[in-house]
Amino acid sequence: MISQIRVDDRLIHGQVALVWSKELGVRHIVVANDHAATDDVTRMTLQMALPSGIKLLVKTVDDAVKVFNDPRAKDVPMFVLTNCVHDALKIVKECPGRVEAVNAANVGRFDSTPNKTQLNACITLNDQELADLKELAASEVPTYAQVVPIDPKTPVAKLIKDAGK
Amino acid sequence: MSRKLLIATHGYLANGFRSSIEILTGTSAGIDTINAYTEEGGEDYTKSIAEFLESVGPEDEGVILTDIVGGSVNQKVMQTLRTSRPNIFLISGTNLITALAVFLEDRPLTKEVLNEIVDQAKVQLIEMPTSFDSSSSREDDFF
Repeated sequence: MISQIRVDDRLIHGQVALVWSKELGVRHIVVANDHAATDDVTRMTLQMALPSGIKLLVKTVDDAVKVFNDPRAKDVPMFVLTNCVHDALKIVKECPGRVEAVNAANVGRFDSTPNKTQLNACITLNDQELADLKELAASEVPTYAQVVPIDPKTPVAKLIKDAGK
Repeated sequence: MSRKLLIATHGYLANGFRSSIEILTGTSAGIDTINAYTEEGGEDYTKSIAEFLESVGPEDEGVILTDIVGGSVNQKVMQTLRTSRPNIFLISGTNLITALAVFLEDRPLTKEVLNEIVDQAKVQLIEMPTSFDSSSSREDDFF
């Protein structure tokens, strides 16, 4: 079971693994990212960002979907990280009933596409990402924005509406 | 009961620690700083140390984090503290991991808890690998 998919353009960093694994009560983290899964140094640096006692799996998005649909994954609470909305949407679509929530935390800050839509200080979206996020907001999976646990869970549908999109 | 931190350093390192903590956790509430020997911190910051000590009530936890054990800032803190107090702790040689861990610790602070934090916050030399083993991360070890 996926307790949360967090969209974070830096994947695992600083206190994310520590703070959120504690908050969600999970000991299994999956990074679903095509680049990270195929780059040794990225995999190594992600591993270094882990607190002790936490298990990490780094997979391409396609392989991660297979893992989430594995019968063994059903009863294991997992914290999943993607670095874009597109990958999170793919997981939600291809793993029906397995995702409890999507958290659009830090999105699009390294994407230099012109004319992006800004939803808050941490979310800027190109047209494709905006369309994907709208689809997530309309899905049955709760989709909110919450950078750190003490922040309120702001529904993404509200952010999109407030941005006039 | 609340936890109060005072970070006291030579120069603006204290403000730097607070800025980093705020970026990483979203808050730096309850952190005071002394940036000694700067325009902000001045030459005589003993008063700021005393004010911090006064602000820590008997039910509170106070932690003072300084930069260098033998430095004048840590000396001033010790001269102001004078004697051991059950709810005030002094840590020196502070690095960001230590400051963060003290700030985020859920358990009540004791000597044992703080020793554990200090031990885990070691400075380390990172060696880049000369080659990688080709096995990718596997589900078998994961579940």
